Amino acid sequence: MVTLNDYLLASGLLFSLGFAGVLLRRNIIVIYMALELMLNASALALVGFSRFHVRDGLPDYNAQIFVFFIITVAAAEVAVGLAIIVALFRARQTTRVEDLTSLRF
Amino acid sequence: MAPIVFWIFVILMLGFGLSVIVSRNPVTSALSLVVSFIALAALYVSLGAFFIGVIQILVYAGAVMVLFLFIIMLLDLRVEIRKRMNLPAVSGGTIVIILFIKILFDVCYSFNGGHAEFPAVSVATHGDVWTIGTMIFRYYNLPLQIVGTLILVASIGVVILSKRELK
Amino acid sequence: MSFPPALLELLVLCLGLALLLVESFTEKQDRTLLAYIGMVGLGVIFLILQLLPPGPTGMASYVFDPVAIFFKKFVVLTTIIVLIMSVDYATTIQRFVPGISSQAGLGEFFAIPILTCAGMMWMASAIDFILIFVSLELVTISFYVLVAFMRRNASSLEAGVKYLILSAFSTGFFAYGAAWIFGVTGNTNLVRIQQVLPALGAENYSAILFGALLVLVGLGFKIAAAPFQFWVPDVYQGAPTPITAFLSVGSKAVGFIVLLRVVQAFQSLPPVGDKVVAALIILAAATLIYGNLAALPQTNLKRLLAYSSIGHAGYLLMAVAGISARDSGQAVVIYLAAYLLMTLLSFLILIIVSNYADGDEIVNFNGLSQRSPLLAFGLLVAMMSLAGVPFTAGFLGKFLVFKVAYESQQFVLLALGIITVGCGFYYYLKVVRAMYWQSAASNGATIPVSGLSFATIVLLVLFTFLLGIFPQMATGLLR
Repeated sequence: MVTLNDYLLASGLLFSLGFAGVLLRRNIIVIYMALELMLNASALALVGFSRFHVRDGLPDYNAQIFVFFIITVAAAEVAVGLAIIVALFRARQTTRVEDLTSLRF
Repeated sequence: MAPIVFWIFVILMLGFGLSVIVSRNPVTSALSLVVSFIALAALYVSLGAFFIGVIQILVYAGAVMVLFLFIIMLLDLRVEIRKRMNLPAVSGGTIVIILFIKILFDVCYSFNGGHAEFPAVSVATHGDVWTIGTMIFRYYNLPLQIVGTLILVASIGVVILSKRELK
Repeated sequence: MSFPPALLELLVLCLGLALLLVESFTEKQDRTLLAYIGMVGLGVIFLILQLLPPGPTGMASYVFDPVAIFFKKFVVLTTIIVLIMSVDYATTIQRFVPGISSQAGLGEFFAIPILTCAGMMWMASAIDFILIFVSLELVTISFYVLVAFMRRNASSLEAGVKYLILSAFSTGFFAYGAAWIFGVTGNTNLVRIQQVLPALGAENYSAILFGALLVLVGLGFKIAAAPFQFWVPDVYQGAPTPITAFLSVGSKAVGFIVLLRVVQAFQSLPPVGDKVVAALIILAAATLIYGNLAALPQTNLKRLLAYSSIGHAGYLLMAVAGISARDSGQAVVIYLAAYLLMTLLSFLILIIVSNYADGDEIVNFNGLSQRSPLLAFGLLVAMMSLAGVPFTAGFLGKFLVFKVAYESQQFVLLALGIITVGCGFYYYLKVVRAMYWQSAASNGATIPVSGLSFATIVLLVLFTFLLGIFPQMATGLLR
């Protein structure tokens, strides 16, 4: 039997993978992919909760609409993000976080 | 859905998700991300969210991933050279993540109702695309307009940032 | 006359779109004209806001209460002043944006802040996680573009990438937290959540707390609270200066309104609400200490203002953490009003001086009092107010925040606040010393100031004093 908990754990582990990727990786593009994993983990949790909260015999579609907006926003965010990364690469020939050194703490 | 199918997709999703963050070749990462997202779409379908599953594949596995691959190829990124890891940062990060997973397990297991089977649902009379579409235009019109503005700003931004010579 | 309040954002949106259209159909015109149109348009919006009474909106996710009105006026005013700064900053933008004509990209640089302003106004009214999420993202994505705007300047691009990654990171936390809050309460609407929470079973407390803390982390990045502040100095220093001002005033303020609304909703369930407040206290203490100590050794004014903005987030968090006191919301509002005046004043003068001296170092301000007494006096007032000298707006803000901390019995925070104010005096007066006691290094000529900036400086100085001398004016901010 598959329960809500299994879905939540799956989504939580996906979120942790994304979290780990952001903290541990140094390549900006891979970090960006890890950020996508985090957003998708929240989407999975939302869809799971949508199936869990039944309204009038139907899943709670409000959560699915939230997911719809998350996906749209994430797509726009990727487009802008990659444009900035390309612009940086043109200027500096690097996609490594450590090479962003002209500003320091 | 049969538990065995569920677990197969979960393992696919997490396994390829892991491959995204450990592989040193960005192309491998991007392709692993595609597989992970397709498995995720399968999980959406298993929850009865067909519309979300479909747009997950269309938007993520389709558009977003092509964009990622295109950029990786455009920038001609090579396999990363393994560099000396920054030990305090890595160990700190690992501790944070382990703590996070520990809290996550505690929260999930204490969550009320999480252990029971999902409540029964009937199939929406017009299908879920109709239901979601109606709700978006009836109750979520304002967020929809805002997302429209957001996409406008994003497209202006992309043009500004990447056009070689602005007119 | 009934004027639907939700129309206001649409008017701002139309203004932004109109500017973009005018920009694309006029080739030869001076682009600064667009900025003036934008200022006038926003001025009209501000007047309408001044006249509109709070009232029901007929929408569940959108409110038009006094707090929302205050924040809308706040962001409109901020955007107007940011446009004034952008006009002064236009030469630097032209230098760093490649293009065939010398005015390339300027039109967009004036139009995008107006669209951002619409997003911030939506955020001020949003009480539904979905609406909050999309308007927050509208604001964030326009800031990505604005921060990285100067494509020939590597530090602007690097700031863009840093802001991009850390904002997307915080969005992930915010969305995941909102998902958990939805999962436990079955609602995305904060008013409904507030009603549902008291009936929650004790076994779900850890789940809802988990969600609330994740949302707090997400918002912590937006308002630059320690330990989520590490992006701030680099991004603030690398971004175009008007955008830095916009980030540190506008973006921070809307982060605080969402924070206030979320924390307020959780007060209906004391066992969880108390833990959220405890987390806020820790954040406030860390932010106060970090922001003020790290500002001490700074020699670059732009970077100093970045650290000072972290420090001020600490005082604001103190007021939010005192949510149990009656005047907590009012203290946040008045502190933010004072913060707007003094921060925008310092950034405006920073832009004028650094344009002329070609650098934002404090050394560039040496002997400013002999060269341009007005600019020096303006910056003196701004620094005094930021430090919290009596009879300035900043003092009133700090006083109210400390009063809230006292009433809600957070004596540790109160003590920390008072000590860090002492630190503040040191680094703000460093700037004053450079202006009044050091002699100018080279060219002692008067720095030219445009009429509009001159008027803005005079008004900001005037209001800084008015708010400090007549505190009863401040209570009128929340009708």
